[in-house]
Amino acid sequence: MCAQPVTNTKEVKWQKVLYERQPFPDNYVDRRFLEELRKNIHARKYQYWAVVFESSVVIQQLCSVCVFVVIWWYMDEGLLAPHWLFGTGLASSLIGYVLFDLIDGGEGRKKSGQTRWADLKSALVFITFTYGFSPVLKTLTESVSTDTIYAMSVFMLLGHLIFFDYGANAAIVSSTLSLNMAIFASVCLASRLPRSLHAFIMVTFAIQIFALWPMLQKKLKACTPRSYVGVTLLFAFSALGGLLSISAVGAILFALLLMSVSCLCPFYLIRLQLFKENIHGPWDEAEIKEDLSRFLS
Amino acid sequence: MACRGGAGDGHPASATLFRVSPGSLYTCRTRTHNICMVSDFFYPNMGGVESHIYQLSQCLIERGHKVIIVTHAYGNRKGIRYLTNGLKVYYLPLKVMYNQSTATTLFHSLPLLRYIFVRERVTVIHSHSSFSAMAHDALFHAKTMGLQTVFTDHSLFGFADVSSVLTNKLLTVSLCDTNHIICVSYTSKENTVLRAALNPEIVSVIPNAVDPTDFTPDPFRRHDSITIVVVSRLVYRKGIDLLSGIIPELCQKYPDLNFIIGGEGPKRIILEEVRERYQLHDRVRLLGALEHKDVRNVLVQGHIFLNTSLTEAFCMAIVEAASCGLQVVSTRVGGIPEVLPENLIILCEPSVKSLCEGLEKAIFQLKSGTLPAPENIHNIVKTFYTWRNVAERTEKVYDRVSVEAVLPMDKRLDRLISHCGPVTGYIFALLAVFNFLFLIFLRWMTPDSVIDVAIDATGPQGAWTNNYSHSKRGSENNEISKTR
Amino acid sequence: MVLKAFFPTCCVSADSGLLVGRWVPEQSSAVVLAVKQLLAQVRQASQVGVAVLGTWCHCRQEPEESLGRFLEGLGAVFLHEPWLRLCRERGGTFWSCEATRRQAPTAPGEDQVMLVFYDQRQVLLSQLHPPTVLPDCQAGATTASTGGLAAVFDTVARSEVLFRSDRFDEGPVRLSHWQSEGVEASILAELAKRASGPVCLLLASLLSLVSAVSACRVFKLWPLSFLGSKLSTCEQLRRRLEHLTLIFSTRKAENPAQLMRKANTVVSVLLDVALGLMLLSWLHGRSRIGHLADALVPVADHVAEELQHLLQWLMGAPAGLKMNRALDQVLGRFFLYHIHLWISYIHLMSPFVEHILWHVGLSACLGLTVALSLLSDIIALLTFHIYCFYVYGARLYCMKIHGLSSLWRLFRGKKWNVLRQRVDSCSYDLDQLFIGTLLFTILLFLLPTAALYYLVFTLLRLLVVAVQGLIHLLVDLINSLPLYSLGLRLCRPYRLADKPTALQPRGANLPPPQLWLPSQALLGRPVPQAVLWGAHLPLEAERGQAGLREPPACLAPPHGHGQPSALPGWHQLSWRVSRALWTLLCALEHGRPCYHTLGLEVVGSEQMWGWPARLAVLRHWHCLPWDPLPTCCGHHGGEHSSPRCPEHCPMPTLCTQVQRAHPPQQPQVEGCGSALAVGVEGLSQDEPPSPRHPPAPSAEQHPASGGLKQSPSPSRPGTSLPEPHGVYLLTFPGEVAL
Repeated sequence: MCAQPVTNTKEVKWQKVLYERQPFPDNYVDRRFLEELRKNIHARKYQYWAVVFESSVVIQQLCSVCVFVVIWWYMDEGLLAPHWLFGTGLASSLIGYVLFDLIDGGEGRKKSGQTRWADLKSALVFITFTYGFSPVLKTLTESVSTDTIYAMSVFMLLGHLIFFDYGANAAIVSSTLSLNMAIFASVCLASRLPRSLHAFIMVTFAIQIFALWPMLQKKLKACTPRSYVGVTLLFAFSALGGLLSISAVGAILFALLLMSVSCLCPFYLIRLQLFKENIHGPWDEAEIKEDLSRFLS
Repeated sequence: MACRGGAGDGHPASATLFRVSPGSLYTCRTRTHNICMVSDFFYPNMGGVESHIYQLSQCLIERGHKVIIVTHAYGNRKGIRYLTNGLKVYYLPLKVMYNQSTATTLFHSLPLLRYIFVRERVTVIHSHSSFSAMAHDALFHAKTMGLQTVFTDHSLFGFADVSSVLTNKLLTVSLCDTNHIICVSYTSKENTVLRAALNPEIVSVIPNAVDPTDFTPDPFRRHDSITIVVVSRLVYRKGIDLLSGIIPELCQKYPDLNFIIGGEGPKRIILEEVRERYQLHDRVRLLGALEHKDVRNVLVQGHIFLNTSLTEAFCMAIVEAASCGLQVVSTRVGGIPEVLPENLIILCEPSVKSLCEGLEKAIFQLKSGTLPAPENIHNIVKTFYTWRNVAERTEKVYDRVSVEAVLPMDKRLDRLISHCGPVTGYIFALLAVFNFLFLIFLRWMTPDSVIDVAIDATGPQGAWTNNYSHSKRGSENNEISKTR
Repeated sequence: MVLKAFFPTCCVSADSGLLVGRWVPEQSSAVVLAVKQLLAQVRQASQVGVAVLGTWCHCRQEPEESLGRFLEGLGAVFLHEPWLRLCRERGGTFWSCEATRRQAPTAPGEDQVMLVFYDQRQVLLSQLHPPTVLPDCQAGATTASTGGLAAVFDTVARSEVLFRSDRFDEGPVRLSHWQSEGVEASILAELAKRASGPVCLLLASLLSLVSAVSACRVFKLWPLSFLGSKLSTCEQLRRRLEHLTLIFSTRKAENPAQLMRKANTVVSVLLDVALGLMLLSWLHGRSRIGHLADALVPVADHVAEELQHLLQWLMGAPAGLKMNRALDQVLGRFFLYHIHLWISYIHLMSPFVEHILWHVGLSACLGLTVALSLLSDIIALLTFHIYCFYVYGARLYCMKIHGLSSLWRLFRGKKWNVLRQRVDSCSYDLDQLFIGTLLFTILLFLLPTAALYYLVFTLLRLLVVAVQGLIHLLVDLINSLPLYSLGLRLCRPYRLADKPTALQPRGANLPPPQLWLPSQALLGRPVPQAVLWGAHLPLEAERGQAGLREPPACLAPPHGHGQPSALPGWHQLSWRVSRALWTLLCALEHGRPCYHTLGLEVVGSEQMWGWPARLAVLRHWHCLPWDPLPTCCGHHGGEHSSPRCPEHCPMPTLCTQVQRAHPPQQPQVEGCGSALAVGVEGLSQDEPPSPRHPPAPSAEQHPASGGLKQSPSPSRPGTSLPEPHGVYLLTFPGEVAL
C-alpha cells in the first residue's frame, strides 16, 4: 500500500519513531510490537491472618448495628428501663472518654487541639437538643405507618454499613453520610418508642454507639492491636448473646455472617489473586505518587 | 490555520486558497473518493481532534476528493455550513449528553445519517475519536449500508478500572468489522490493538501534523529573563498537579525565572492558590483560554516549553513549541518519546523531582549557550510533520479500503458473534439485525432514488471556486456533466 | 433583453391615443401611465421624466384605416426609442403589441416584448412600499429585477396627477378615478381636515396639563407610587393618556407606519368609549347598582364560609394523607382566625358598598377598559384574604424547601460554596452533623403538611389570578387590536403591500442572505424553472457567489422533477415524506424556515399593526415570479400541463403566439422586429383559450418551460438565458386570495 516494502530490511532497521520517514508501510508490524507490554506489576501478596485482622472493622460495625437494634427492641417491649440504659450509657461513655486519652497518653488531643471545654460543650449541645426535641420526635411519625418506619430504618442502617469508612480508599466511602444515615435511622426508630424520655435516651445511645465508639475503636486498633482483638471478640459475643435472647435463628444467621466475613472472605480474596491479569504499558495514565498537597498547606 | 477556517465560514473562496495548481495533482491520481468525516468534535469546539479533521479534510480536498464533515449542533450553530474551499459541515440536531459527546441509541441517528450518505454519494466513512458516540453510530450504520469504513483513534486508554473494561468492550464491537483503523502513534496502535483485539495489519500509524508556517520562531520577542511556557487545558490528565509542585520549587531556586501558563480548566484554581501562597503574582502569568491563533504569540515569548501530561497519544503541543524554537521538557508518557528526536526534547518521569531536574538541565544549557538557535530548531522540525503528508498517507488507506469488500450481513453477524464474546456478540448481532431492518424500512419509506443529490461544492473543480456568471452558465453546465 | 411594458388595467378601455409614461433604460422597461396628452403639466407636477412612449389603438367602431395610419406616423413625430404600439381589437379579444426601433436591434433577444398589466390605483396606494432611491439615479448596481420593480412602483406613485385626471370607461357616464372614491366623502374629509388643526391644538394643551399634574412629585412618594404600580386602573389611565397625547399631537406622521399606528389608536379609543357609554347606560338604569350591592356582601360571606369548611377539612386527615397532626392544627387555627377577621371587615364595609359601586359605575364614561380595570382592582381587594393565605403558605413552604435542600447537602457531607457558586465537600463537626440530621428528619416529616397547605392556597390564588387575567386580556385586546389595519386588510389589502424581508436593504453589519437552493418540486414545479424564477430575486447573486448550481440532470431521478403524480401510490407517499424532509433540511440550512420553501414566512410580531401587511406581502411576492398565465403552462411541449388558474383573476386569460415572419432589418412598421401578438379573451370571463389561438407549440419559445439547460435554443447560440416573454399579471392579494 505504501511505497513498496524494502526487501533488505537487515540494513534499515525499524525504529519506533514518528518523525522519520521510514521505508515501511504505515501498517507495518515489527517484531518489537508490544514488547513493552507488562502484566500485574501492581499485584499485591496478602497474608491470611493480616486480612482477618483487618476484617475485624467490618465485624465491629455489624455488631454495633446489631446491638443498637437489640437495645431498641428491648426498649420497645418495655424490658429495659430507660433510666438504667441512660446510667449505663453515661458510665461507659465516661470510661471510654478516659480510655481515649489514656491510650496514647494525650498525644492525639495535643495534635488536634481539642480542649476539654469543647468536649463538654459538645456533650451539652447533644443532651440539650435531644432533650428539647424529644417530644417533637415522639409525635413526628404518628401518622406514618410502622412498616414504613421499619423499611426506612433498615434502608438507612444498610446505607450506614455501606458508606462507613472501613479504611478503604474508594469513592463510595463517606463517613459523614454514614453517620447521618445512622442518626436518621435512630430518630425514626426512637419515634416509635412509647414515651418521649425513651426517645431521648435512644437517640443518645445511638450517638454513643455510632459516633463515639468507632473513634475509640480506631485508636485502640492503632495503639494496642491485641486488646483490640479482645474487645472485638467480646463485643461480637455480647451482640450474639443479645440477639439469641430475641431469636435463635437470627443469632445463628448472624453468627454465620460474622464467620464468613472474618474467615471465608479473606480466603477467597487470596485465592482469586492467582487469576489476576492486569495489562500495563506505556499507554497507561501516569500516577502522581507524591503528596502534592504539601505545596499548598 | 484552524481559526482561519472558522473565519472563512460562509465566505467565498479567496485567491489564497489556490496554493497548488489543480492540474498537477490531477495527473498523478487514479481515483477520487467521496469521504464523510464523522465526529462529535468539530469547530467551534477546539482541540487536537478538531484541527486534525479540519486540516486533513482541507488537504484531501486539495487532492481532489470530495469531503464532507458531520458533527452535532453546537448551540446556535446548526444546519449546514460551508467552510473554506467549500468544505461542507453538517451540524445535526442531536442531543449532547456528556462532554460534547452525543447520546446514542444506535438507531435514532440512522435516518439522518443515511439521508446524508445517500445525498452526498459517500463512499468512505471516516470516523474520529473513540470518545465520540456519533462516530461509532456512523460506523455501525455505514456497515449496515455497505459502505467502507475507516476509524481514527486519537486517544489512549488504560485497562485497569471498570469503566475502561466496558468502553474497551464497546470499542471491540465497533471496530471488529471496520475496514481500517488509523492511529496517531505506535504506542496508540499497540493500545488500540490490545483494546479492540484487532489484527495489527489493518491498523496504520499516521501521525498528526502541525502547520509549520503558523509556528515560526521570533527571538526578538523573547523575554530577557528565562521564561517557561505551558500551554494546555488545565485538567488532571495534563498533569497540572505536577505543575503546581514544580512552580514553587523552581521559583525558589531561580529568582529570575518566569512562568507563562495558557489555557483554562478546572485545575486553574490550584495554580492560583500556589501563586497566592508563594507570592508569585509577578512571575507566574495565567493567561486563561487561548485562541489557536494566539498560541504562537505566547510560545515565542518563552525559552523552554514544559509539558506535564500524564497520558498523551501524540502531543501536538510539543511539536508546535519545538517548531517555535523552544527547548521542550516533557514527561515520558504515551507516544511522546516517538514524536521528537532526543536532541530536541528532554524526557522526564512524571514526578515533580524528575521534571525539576529536566528543567534545571534545560536552564543550564540555556545559560551556557549550548542550545541550538531557534531558527535551526524550526528548520529541523518543519520537515517532520506536514498535513500534506498525512493526507497522502490517509489517501492510501482509502485506496486500499475502497477495493476491499464490505462484509455482507451474514458474515458480519458471524464475525460479531465469534469476535466479541458470546454475550456481547449476540446482543450486538441482534442490534445489527434490527438496524438492518430499520434501514430496509427507511429505504421503503424514502427510496434512494427520490433523495436529492447534493451539490459538490468542494475541490478545485467544484462549484465553490468557480465564478458563476450568467453568460457562461449553460456551457459550464455542459462541461460539468461531461466530466462526470 | 426583453422589453417589458407595464400597462395599467384602467387604460384598457380607453380610446385610442398616445401612451404616456416613463422609459427606464436600465431595465429596458416602459411604464405606461396613461393614454394622454398635456405632457408638460404632468412632467412639472410629478418630477418624473415622462415621455410619449408610443400609441394606443382601441377601435370601438369600425376600424378606421386613417387613424391607424395616423398613429403609425406619430412614431416619426415623437422621437422615442423604442416606439411602442399597442393595439386592441373591437370587443377586446385581440391585443397586439409591437416595439419599433429605428436602428437594427443588436441582439436577437431584444425584439421580445413582455406586457405586464398592473392596477394603477392599487400600485399608487400601496403606501407601505416606500421609494428608497430616486428613480433617476437608479443605477444598475442593484440587480435588475428588484430595482426594476421599485422603479415601476415609484414612477407610478409620483404620477398621481396624471392618474387623477384620467377618465376612461365604457359606461355611458365617464367617471374619473378620483370620483370613484366618492365625492361626498371627499368633501367631508376636507372639512374635517380644516377643523382638526385648532381642535388638536386645544386638546393637546389640555392633555399636557393633565400629564404635568400626574407627573407631580407628590405621586412619586412611596405609598402612592407603590399603589399606582399595583392598581391596574392607574395603569390603564396612564396608557389612555399616552394614547390621547399621540392622537392629538400636532406633529404630522412621518411615515406610513406612524400614520397607521395613529389611526389604529383613534379607532380603538372611539370603540372603547362607545362600549363604556353603553355599559354606563345599562348600569344606571332601573337601580341595577342597588341589586348588585345587595348581592355582593352575601357572596363575600359565602366565600368566607366555604373557606372555613375547606380549612376544617384540611385540619382533619384529608384524603388519608400522612399529615403531622400538631402542625396541622396550628396552621388550621391560624388561618381560621384570619377568616374571622375578614368577615368582620366585610360587615363593617357593607353599608358603603352601594355608594362605592355607584361612583365606580360613573368611571365607565372614560371607556370600557377603565371600568374593567376597576373591576379587576375590586376583585383583588375582595379576595385579599386569599392572597394573604397564599403568601403565608408559600413563605412557609419556601423556608422548608430551602432548609431541606441545605440540610440534605449537610446530610451528604457537602456544602454550598458561595464564592465559587458550587457544591463542595466539607468535613463537619460531630455536633453540627447531629443537629443537622435531627432538623433534617423533623423537616422531612413535616414537609407534606406544609406542601398541602401551599398547594391548596396556590390553587385558590390561581383561580383569582385567572379571573383577573381574563379581564386584563380583554382590556389589552381593546387597547391594542389594530382595528384600522384589520379593516384595511379586509377592504383594501393592496394598500398594505410591502417588500419581504429578504429584499429589504441590509446594513453592513448584517450577514449576507443565506444561500437558498430552490429544491425540485417545491411548488410543484420543475427545478430549472424554479431556478429561473429564482433569478428574479437578488438572492441569485449570493447563490452565484457560493457557487451553487442546480443539480446536473444526469444524476436526477428517472421520473423527472416535480411530477409526483407520475409515481405509483406508495411512491407518492414516500415522495411527500422526502419532500417534507428536504424542506426541513432547507430550513436547517438557513437556521429558520424560509418562506420560499415552506410557503410561509415567520412573521415577527413586535409591531402588531404590521401583521396584515406582512401577510399581504407574502401573497404578493409569492406570485413575484409573476405566474405565467394559466393556459401557457404547457410543459415540454404540452406533455405535462398544470393549469394553476387563480380563481378570481379579473384579468383576461391570454395566450401568446410568437411570430417570426420578417427579418429584423426591415424598417417597415409591420416587419419591424418580431412582433408579439397577444390574444385577449374577454375581460370578465375565465374561458378556456379559444381554439383559434392554440397554446405555444414548443418549449423553447415558452416562458414557463424555457429551461436553461434542458433546451438551449439552437437557433440563438449567443444567449443562454432567455428571459420569459409573454404576458404577465402583477397581482395583489386581494384578488388572488380573498
